[in-house]
Amino acid sequence: MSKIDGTMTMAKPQQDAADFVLEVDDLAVTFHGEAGALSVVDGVSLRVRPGKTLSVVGESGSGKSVTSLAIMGLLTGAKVTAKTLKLRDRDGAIMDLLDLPEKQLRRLRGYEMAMIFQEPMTSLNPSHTVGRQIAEVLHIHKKIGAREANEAAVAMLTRVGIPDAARRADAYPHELSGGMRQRVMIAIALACNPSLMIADEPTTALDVTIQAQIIEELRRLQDELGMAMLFITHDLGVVAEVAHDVAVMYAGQVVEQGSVIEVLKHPRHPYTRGLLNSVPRPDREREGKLRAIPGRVPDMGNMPEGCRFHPRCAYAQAGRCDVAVPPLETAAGEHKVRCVRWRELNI
Amino acid sequence: MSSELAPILEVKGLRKVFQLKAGFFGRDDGALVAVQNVSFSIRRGEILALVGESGSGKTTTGRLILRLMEPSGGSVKFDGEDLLPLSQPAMRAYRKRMQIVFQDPFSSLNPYTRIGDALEEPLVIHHLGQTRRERRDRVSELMEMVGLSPSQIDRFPHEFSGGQRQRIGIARALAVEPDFVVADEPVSALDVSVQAQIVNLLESLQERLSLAMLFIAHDLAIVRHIADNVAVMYLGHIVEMAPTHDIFANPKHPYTEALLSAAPIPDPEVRHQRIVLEGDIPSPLNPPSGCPFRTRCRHARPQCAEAPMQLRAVAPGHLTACIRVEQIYGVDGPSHPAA
Repeated sequence: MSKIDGTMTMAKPQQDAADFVLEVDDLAVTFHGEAGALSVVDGVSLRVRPGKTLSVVGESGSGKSVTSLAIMGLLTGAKVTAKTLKLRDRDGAIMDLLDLPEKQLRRLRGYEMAMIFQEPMTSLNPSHTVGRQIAEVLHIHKKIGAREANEAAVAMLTRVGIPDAARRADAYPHELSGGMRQRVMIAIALACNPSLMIADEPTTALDVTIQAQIIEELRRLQDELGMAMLFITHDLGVVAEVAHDVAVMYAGQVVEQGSVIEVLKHPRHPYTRGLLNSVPRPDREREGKLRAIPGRVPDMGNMPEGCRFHPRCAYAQAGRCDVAVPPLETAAGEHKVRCVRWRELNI
Repeated sequence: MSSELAPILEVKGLRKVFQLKAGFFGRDDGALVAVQNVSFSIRRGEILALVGESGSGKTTTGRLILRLMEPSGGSVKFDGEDLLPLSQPAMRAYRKRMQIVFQDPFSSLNPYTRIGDALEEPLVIHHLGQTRRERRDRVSELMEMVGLSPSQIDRFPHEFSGGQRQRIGIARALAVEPDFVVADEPVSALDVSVQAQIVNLLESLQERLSLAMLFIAHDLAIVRHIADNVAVMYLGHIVEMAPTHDIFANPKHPYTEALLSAAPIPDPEVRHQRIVLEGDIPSPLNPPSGCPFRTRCRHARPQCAEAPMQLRAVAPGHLTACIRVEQIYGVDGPSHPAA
């Protein structure tokens, strides 16, 4: 690709690709270390609809965070491949994130796609005021002057629900509470009104009442600004609060995906069902012992043959579940499941 | 042995004040009251959950009871004996009977000590088992009890997963056959699928050994599942305490109500009315007068700034510190659904 600026376009957007802000097909991430190649994400396909939230749920080692970093182009030292990795920008142009030179990718980050993390303290610069850190984003991407950027920074802080924003803009990160810092991160991420926001466990480090505030805020901002969100979490309760669509990841693969109702109310994969069974409900009386999933998540370097969940699965059958990785099959509409027995199981 | 009904642990008026020294920048000395007038009791075989957000004083309370920190005031009676006046040597006999399970067992295990040795250590310290062989047999038994294979006895902590390490932490706490265990966020650091395993393990051991347990947690779903009674803490105070069923079905303090409504429910079809609290927890260095929650409370009135914090019973076993409980919740139950 040659000279590209704000009006970057590809020859022609594919017909259905334009329906999604983010389209990922067959994403694979491999790390090469002393022990050889380590596949941490394998065959992940995701679609994020405009103005909607796709939640990627998984436990540690599921590959959910690596997936988001790979999409952002922030993984160093890893081999990232995909059939499709496309972002639709605010003008409707489709950009191939894998093909883009680093310089252009850098222009997209913070402008068309922005990210917030679990611990805002580690992503904020401790020696600059928060106002300056927001203004910086605007200055870089929107090429506006310092004064205008500062005013916009204060407006942004107000927008994410920080009271007395003009004064708070002069605060340093350590002077703010955890919840306030996460709001600042959101302000930075949303400063340029990105098409896609990736949120990686943004409420995990927060207290429940503060988590409720941040979730409420994100939902309101999504309504106002219309950004699409890729929301990564391990908490099924948070999924139910934020997601329109859900992808459940296990050991580097998507095992089930679909609408939030399909996945949480009518799960087809034994792992999804197992996760739902293993968490007690705060809104219900105790119903006997918890139905825990036995065993633990497999090591990256030592994946079981066949279905990666089969050693922990109550429905596993020798000769069927331990031979080949099951394909991700369509159960109905957009509801997909990676289980050879999904048709016969009533879980 | 005390009777089944007498509490094994009785905490009264527990208080912890941290005196702050003038810092680098010459700030004034101040005092931080981390735990203020905390009272509760736990019977054998009973689990009391202490819930609250960061800075509520729940972890400090657990440490004070075990005298891992020295309380500034109040009393802690264990099996009828007041522990606070005891000398450290006299305290040792009680240490054997009171144990703790930490949130992150990895940081409490020595990375260079084999698991078998780590589990044997408390047995040596408390003179349990005459010979090494006896102690080793006991270690194997403990490992089996918490679902680990005794064949892993010579492994190092890093060879275990988070869930297995928490099993080791539990085994070590139970090695000396305590009567009372403080479990400080024992499953918070674990994966969802493993949390349930550890909750089930704790529960079955607690029943089998008839342990009294102080279960410190912020996850209300797990608390509802495991606890017999719940105490809710806010800025160093217990603001409400009741049997688990009552506190969840019929909260009598606006903070508890907000906390319950903030707990996410893994069901997209349940749209509960959420009470989103404004602002953050105030600084414990400069707590609000009167009710500590009043600055974020939608029911606050001027008198809330004046009345001293005091728990009172509104139903059998159900205590609240809210002075406006009758106006807010009526006599039985919330007067209006959270809307």
